[in-house]
Amino acid sequence: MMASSSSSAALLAHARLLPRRLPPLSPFVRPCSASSASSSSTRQVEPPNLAQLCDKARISLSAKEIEEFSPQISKVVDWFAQLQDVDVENIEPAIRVGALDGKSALRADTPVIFEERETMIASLPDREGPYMRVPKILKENVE
Amino acid sequence: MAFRTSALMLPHQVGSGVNWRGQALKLSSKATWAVRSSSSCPSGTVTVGYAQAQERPSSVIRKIREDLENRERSAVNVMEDYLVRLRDREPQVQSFLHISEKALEEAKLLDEKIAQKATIGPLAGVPIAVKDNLCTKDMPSTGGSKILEGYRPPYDATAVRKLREGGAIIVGKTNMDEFGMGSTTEGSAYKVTANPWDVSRVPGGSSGGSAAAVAARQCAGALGSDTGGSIRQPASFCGVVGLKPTYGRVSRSGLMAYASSLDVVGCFGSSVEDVAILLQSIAGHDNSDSTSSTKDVPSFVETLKPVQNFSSKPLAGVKFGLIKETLEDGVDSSVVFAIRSAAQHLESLGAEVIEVELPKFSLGLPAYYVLAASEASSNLSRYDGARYGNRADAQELIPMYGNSRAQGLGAEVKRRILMGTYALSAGYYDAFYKRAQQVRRIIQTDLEVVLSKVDVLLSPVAPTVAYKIGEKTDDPLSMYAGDLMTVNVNLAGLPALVLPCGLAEGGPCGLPVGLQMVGKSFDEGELLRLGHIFEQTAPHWCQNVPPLVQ
Amino acid sequence: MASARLVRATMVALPSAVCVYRCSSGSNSASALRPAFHRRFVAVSACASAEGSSPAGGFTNNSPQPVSSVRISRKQQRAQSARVVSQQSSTRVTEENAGGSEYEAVIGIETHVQLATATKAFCSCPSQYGSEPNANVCPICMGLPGCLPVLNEKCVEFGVRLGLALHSDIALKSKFDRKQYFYPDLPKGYQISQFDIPIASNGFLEVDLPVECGGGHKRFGITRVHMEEDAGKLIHAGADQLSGSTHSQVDLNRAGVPLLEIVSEPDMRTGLEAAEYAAELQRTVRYLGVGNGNMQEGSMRCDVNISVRPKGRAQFGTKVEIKNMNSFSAMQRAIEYEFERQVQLIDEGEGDKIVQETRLWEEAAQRTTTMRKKEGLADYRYFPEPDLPEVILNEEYIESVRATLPELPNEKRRRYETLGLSMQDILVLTNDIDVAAYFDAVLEKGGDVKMAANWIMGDITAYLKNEKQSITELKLTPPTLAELIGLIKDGTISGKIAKEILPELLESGASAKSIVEKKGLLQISDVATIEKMIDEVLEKNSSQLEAYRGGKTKLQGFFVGQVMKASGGKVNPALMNKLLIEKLNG
Repeated sequence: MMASSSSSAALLAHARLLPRRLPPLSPFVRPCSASSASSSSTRQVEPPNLAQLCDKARISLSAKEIEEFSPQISKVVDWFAQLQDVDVENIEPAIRVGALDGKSALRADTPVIFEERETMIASLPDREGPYMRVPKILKENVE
Repeated sequence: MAFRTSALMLPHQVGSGVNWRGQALKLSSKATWAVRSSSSCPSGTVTVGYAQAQERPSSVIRKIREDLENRERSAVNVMEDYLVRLRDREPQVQSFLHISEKALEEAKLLDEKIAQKATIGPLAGVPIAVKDNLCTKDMPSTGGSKILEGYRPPYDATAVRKLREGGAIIVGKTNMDEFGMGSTTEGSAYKVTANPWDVSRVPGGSSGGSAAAVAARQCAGALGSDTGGSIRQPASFCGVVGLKPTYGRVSRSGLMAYASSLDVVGCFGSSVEDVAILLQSIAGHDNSDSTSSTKDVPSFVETLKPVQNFSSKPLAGVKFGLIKETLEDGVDSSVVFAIRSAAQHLESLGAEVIEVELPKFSLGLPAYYVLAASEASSNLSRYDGARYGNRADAQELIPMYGNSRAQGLGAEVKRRILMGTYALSAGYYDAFYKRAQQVRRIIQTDLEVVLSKVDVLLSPVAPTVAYKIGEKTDDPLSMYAGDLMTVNVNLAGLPALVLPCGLAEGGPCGLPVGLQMVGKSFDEGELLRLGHIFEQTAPHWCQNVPPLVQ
Repeated sequence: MASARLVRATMVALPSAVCVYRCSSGSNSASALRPAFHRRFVAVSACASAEGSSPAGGFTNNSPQPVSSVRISRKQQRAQSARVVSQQSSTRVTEENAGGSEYEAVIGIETHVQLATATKAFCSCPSQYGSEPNANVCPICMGLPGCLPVLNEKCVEFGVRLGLALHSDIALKSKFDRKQYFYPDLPKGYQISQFDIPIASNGFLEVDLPVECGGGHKRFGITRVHMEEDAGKLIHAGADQLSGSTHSQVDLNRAGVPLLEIVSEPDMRTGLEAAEYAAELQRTVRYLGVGNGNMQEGSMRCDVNISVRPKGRAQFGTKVEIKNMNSFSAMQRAIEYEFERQVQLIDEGEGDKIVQETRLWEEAAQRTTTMRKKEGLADYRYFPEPDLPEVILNEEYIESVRATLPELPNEKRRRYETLGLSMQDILVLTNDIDVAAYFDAVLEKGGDVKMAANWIMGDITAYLKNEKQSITELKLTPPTLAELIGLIKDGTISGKIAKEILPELLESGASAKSIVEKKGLLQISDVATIEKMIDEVLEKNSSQLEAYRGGKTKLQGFFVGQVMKASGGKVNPALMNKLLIEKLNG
């Protein structure tokens, strides 16, 4: 799919706006850091403990999936680690974009009955009378 | 519709690089994109990078409205036309997960209302498709996932409700990458949607079904969602117009959350005017969404003038910034060419186009994926089989959760949940999530600065055109790479419009390339105005109907 | 407990005015556990039974211990009678130090208070106790796809209200965070809470300890107050308790109900202090009207954190959390049990068996047990809630809330002290804001302080309890009580008569004067009339008179009774007594 770099260079050379030669655009390579030589030493990231993550996220992966996902996830996490090299001193984290109008986001304390309550209850996968039913909870899993 | 000057583009001028005013474009004669002639293309036209000038895109929605008002067609006629087309093309395109059984009935009711001379809404009778992660009360809403197979929400998403209040008829729910995670729609648990321009290729994602449905003329317009490019990239791949509004412009209530601080609801159409009409209908503050903006919704449609009213330099005084980092090595040459040609076209309209640098541009990609995966890992915790959807059999609670989620969720979703869980874990939060938020701040600031110097930013939407189905499913990272040009817009919450701006080599009749215009916060109006001018004057109006569509 | 430890109950006054309250544990049986504590709660329960137990008019939520089941050692009985109860608010009772413990408990409390709002925290479902299961639910609180939370404005108001009442700093800018874990009563898989920037912080609560437990005025620090949502209710079905249950039933009515979590500084040192802190917090919550504060119903829940360290050491010991206490007395007992348990382990060289864990208080067995053995702390993966804006307040708003605060319990107690009431009485009167308001109203109408206090705490409380009424429903209004008191004070009627007509006053709501007049119950204070009555009685009972004059002075009571009877109870007792003695003695 990618055209050869020589033809793209030629193309671009002819276009009105000439680009400078720049390093290849690849998300896998750390972008703007000057010290492109240094690498993994600045980002010692432990490979994720997949079994632990599966437990936290309540996903029972099959052995095959674990085998398949482990390297994929490690690779992505390693890629995430390039963020460590960015200078973020004095940068305030951005939870979201822009400020929200807090006042308009307050709701008056007036009760409203949800009219489709029956539909919702009817689509519970397992019920017992008015209750929702779930399988038994082991003592060690009580919150 | 004639131009004011006699610069009508004649067939023989196509390929010589002539603009809408007949002025020559400086293009190399060594243009490497193919000249192909194929009998599978309609009317035996010759396609080069620029398609045969057929006709300017025009508003389908406005046409339906006019026909209804003039009694030239009835709502039932309109709907029947669409439904026939829909069913006819569906075996090849597979854009829909669910087709409404009530569409014709709703059209009938509308005809009765019209007969009674009752007031009808601005979208009356218009068939619209809705991405399956937007809740619809009367139709299943699966989010493209098996875990919600057959799930019927007890309420309509606000955007859907507003469409319906405007009189639109929802023809069906479109296919998508599961919960919005993916760029090809191959991540759907149900089916693979094909690109109407080449059914062996992906339509893009995650709103691939919506984009394909509009491209294949199965509906007049469609709703999608965009978290990291999920409207814009399929719009580019399918050659339709796609709009990602400013974060907060459209209510997220009823949109199955993927990444709460990045998700927006947006729309597709076959022309800028259609997209403007749709946005008009769905935009506005919603009490159910505390992140929706209270800013006034201006009239988006009023600013779109008919082409004959354009001045000779309709873009005089407008300054565009072409993002340098998006045109470098790694981007398809045909894509680069199309974008640069588009830039030249804008200049011919009187605009100033400069190159701008955003050195930290590529940082957006890892930052985006950390934030998106983290928020997704939280937003998807509710899919546990307990209260709705598919529940796996189990004797104990923990296996019930574990199996329901393992079986009901797809591979990419599971991966992202695990990655997000990792990034939020104790000990890692500062290094990943917090850092990503800081990088987000940097990118927001950079974009703000550059948008104080130019009015609108330009870039391609993706480094390539639509690739083959199956090509990118094995390596997540290579798929993520394709989002480079779109994610920063989500991180900064800015609005962006994607316009078809040419065809590149590939497929039976070429493959669409989309131009991305990024505007200032809440300035959709300006984007639409400029996009409309571009579209109506582009020398390379795509034969905007893919070969699938005859 | 392997070996019974006998420790004499001691009350040790320490320089910092901390009351270390150690009780004997002569056997394993529940009722022998904490006699002194029982004593206090017997007193309490007497009050509780007098005042009724409804949340509005009720006292604390202790299950009152029947007096007969309390086994008090002889030593405590002696101690009891030897105790001098001072009228001063900061009482210190010093007794012989029986060579008390070298350890002290360091206690902190986390309290969750359900807010008395009409709707839930993030949706408009009714927030109602006792509804049919799963009746008050909607897509938002059930965590359906696509739903977004919208903050109830009353939550913010109540948070500021309580924060101000606890003398805290109110954050002008706070935010919500997601606390993530999976459980069937948590529909979204996360709880919306406040993690690092709570709405209020750095406050304190002032407590007057009950007089019978040594009294004392204490101040306990409050680290923070934050807003969050409650989870639903889980019922483990198919068996009596969790183990052996076959499945669980979930009721999501409570999911999303707004809570305020109050975290104290680890300032408490005894179970009593902890219990009183909790009681004062409940009192404050009820005074403010921000919540019901009912531990039995679960609208107020306290979790205790306790660690043990050698006295004098600055470093904290291993912290153990205790849950599942349904009353203040249970809190006290749980703390005392846990303290014993830990001290014993330390003394036996097994201090490393004390691990950071959560233990449950078992009311039936009167002990704490391990809830679950979990290695490491739970990772809740907190991150800022993207669906909700920051909560931004201005000074104007805070002041407007401050202006609506009532006189707080501690302030009231200080004021009542200036009226000359005993701390014992003050604690009873100020426990319920409505009772205090009633009392204040009586005073406003000119009622005598002490008499008003006695009438309210005595007969009126008994009546309310009997009729299961709250004082706000009482037909005997403050002006009428003031009137009654006035009539006694100016001698129009005797105290005895007042008690006689009280039932009618309570039932009818009529004025005291009208009843007195109707029934002709004016007190007889005319000397001549009384003398005549006395003469008649003495005449009729000449043999008793002779016996009296012969030395049986105890017969005075007999004559008093006869004169009373003859006068229909209307005679002025003091005057009658004086005149009677004169006549008896010739």
